[in-house]
Amino acid sequence: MIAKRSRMEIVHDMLSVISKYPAVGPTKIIYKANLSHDRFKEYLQFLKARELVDESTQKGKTTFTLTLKGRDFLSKFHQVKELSEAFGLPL
Amino acid sequence: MVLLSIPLWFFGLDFAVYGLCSFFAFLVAYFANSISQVSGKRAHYHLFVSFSLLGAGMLAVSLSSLMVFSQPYLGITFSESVSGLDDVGYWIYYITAIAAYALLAYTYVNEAKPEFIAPAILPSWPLLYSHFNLVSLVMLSFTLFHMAINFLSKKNLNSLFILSGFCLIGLHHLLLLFMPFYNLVYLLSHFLLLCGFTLLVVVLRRVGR
Repeated sequence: MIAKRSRMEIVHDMLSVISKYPAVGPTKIIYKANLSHDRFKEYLQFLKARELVDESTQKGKTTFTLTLKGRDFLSKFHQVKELSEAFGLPL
Repeated sequence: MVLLSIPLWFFGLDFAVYGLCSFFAFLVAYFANSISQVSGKRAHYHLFVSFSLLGAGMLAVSLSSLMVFSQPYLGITFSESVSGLDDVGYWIYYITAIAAYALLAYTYVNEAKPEFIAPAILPSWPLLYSHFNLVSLVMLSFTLFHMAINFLSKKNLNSLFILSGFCLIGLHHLLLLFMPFYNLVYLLSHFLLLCGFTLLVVVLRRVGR
């Protein structure tokens, strides 16, 4: 059985997708990060509130890019995950 | 008398043991703080606060012991107020360590079943002043139980080191209960404390690579 992803893991998956492109639209993030549209909107609010992604709209198309804070999150994620698991704390 | 069970040559050296353990505890706190800032989780913040408290308490013992035991070598008269300073250091350590263990127990019990927090922690408080090591053991037992379950589910080296580290810290408190009866127990217990914190730092090193 595949374990349910934690909130942090979903955030990590979204940021990983965004980091792979210079600018990426919502459909690609939903598809690659395996999210429903509602979940996507919920997590997007979280990412924007914590300034992990930048949203821009050009010619009616919305795209997302990773901020420096977002890159920092991605680079520290594995460290956070390993240490959390070692101390038996949920991620 | 308790003091007779402590090897004379170890007097004054315990400042080094507590100093090192304090440094290691602050290192764990620093890592916990950095992961808490990334995750925003309260449990990670609790880990940071717990180890900061432990580090501060042990630093207080270390500094007060150093001041007391360096008096004769510095040619300063050993006064009553200076020997009282050692007690102050230990009292700070007792209070901060109990608070740190209680916060750790709260964090782990809270993660398991929130309704058991109060009954799990409250019964040990009346013992606080007379039996610091017993209270520490009771508090640590919740953390150890959770660590053991975590190791059995994860079965990796990091969780084993963390479990062993906390076991050694628990053994340190257990051995100190027998200090009035056996010689060298004080020495052995401090060695175990140092080993326990060293294992926690080994995990930080492995994770930080």
